Amino acid sequence: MTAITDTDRHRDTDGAWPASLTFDEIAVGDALPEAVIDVSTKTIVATAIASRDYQDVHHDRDLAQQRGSKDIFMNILSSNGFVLRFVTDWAGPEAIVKQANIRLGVPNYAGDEMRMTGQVTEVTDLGDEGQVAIAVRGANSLGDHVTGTVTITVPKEA
Amino acid sequence: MRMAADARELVDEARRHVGTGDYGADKVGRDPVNQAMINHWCQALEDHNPIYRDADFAATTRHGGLVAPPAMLQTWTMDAPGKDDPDGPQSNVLGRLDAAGYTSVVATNYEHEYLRELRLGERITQRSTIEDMSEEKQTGLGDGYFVTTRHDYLDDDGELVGIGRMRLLKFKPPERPAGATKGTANGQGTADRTPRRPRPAINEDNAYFWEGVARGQLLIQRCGGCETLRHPPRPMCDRCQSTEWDTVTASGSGTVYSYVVHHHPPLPGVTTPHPVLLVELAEGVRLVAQAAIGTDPEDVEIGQAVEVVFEQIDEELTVPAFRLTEEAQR
Repeated sequence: MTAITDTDRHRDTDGAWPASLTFDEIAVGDALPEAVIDVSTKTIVATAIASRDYQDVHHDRDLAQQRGSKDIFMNILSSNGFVLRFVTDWAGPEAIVKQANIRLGVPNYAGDEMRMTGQVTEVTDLGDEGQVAIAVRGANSLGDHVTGTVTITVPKEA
Repeated sequence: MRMAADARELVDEARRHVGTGDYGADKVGRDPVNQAMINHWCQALEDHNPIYRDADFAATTRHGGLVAPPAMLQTWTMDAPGKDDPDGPQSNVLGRLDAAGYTSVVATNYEHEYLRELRLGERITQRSTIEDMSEEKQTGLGDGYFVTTRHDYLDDDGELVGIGRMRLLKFKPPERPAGATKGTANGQGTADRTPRRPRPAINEDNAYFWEGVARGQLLIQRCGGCETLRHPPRPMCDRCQSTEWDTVTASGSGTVYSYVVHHHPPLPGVTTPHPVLLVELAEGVRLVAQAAIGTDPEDVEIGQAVEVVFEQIDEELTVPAFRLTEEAQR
């Protein structure tokens, strides 16, 4: 029996990875499928350490509270990671990320969840590939945690 | 205000290191771009994009092989826990703001340009400079300064592969309410894990009462005009309107005039069931106080004789309480 690894989970039933979007399949105004990120203590600590961010406000609730926060909260490298994941989950593995500009709002405190939405704001034909700008928003129970724009390139043909 | 002057000096000194174009020392990644850290990242973020982990698949895409998640750009050069470049431009600015009392930090903006994708085996070097620092701003988190740091990321050949900008707010955390922190044996403040009983609200009118309790005395206010005793403390006699007063020390004996037993809600520093008594003192005034710790609520009855004791609740708080001295007089 073959061990199931986490990379296998998103494969289609026939074992292939999902197809990527091509430039002609994308139009300004297209909405990305919503995603919900579980902002648990475990998520915050695991992603902070995976990004090698050892600031105490991302793993020590007592110190986070002493510093004026109500709990530990997600670090910015991870928020950026979730934003890019949200975009590439939609565009598919052929997408290449060129730029990310994100603005942080309310913290992603432990115990919350972040609902991610996005919309295509700009498409540019670069000749051999297409460039797509997507406005992304990640909101939790307190308001917008992250808003910003991600720019990717996608292939012209599959 | 010597402290304030020192803080201003530190802020001015910090500002001299802003916008100089001084990049400070190179920060070389501890490890080259590697699969283990990529796997860790992908599992933590549940990012299942196969171009980061499935080499056979990645080779068939326009990436031409495995690449690192772009959002990991800064991760490759992150410091060991607690380590900081002591002379870098970040320490010159952020360290001085720390010393000036702006000890907390939150990132407000994060911008990345990914000039090309990173591949396994590349060692990344980071250079940082402080591009901008705002005037002091009042924010919802506290007063502070917005500081923009620019990071350049270089490959083994010194070619720029990515640019990052992070805007931080360095701010003073708001004052915590009294009692939220306490000193420990080694002299360091630490968060109090067990919430403590709420402190009495002490003011000019009732300070005598708590000062008396601290000395083991139960003091009652006596009007300077008509000598009427009164409790709870108040500034004016309701009989003769005199604002003159002094105190007498109560004998401490009395009877239970009425009582309740507190079961709910839970209160820090209080064990329930918790009998709370209205005691009529021998001197004639009544006061509310808890029963002595350990008193069985079943034993409390109206009319019962009681005597004052002083219960130490924690290292800072002592409260008057009453213990039962004999059977109720039915």
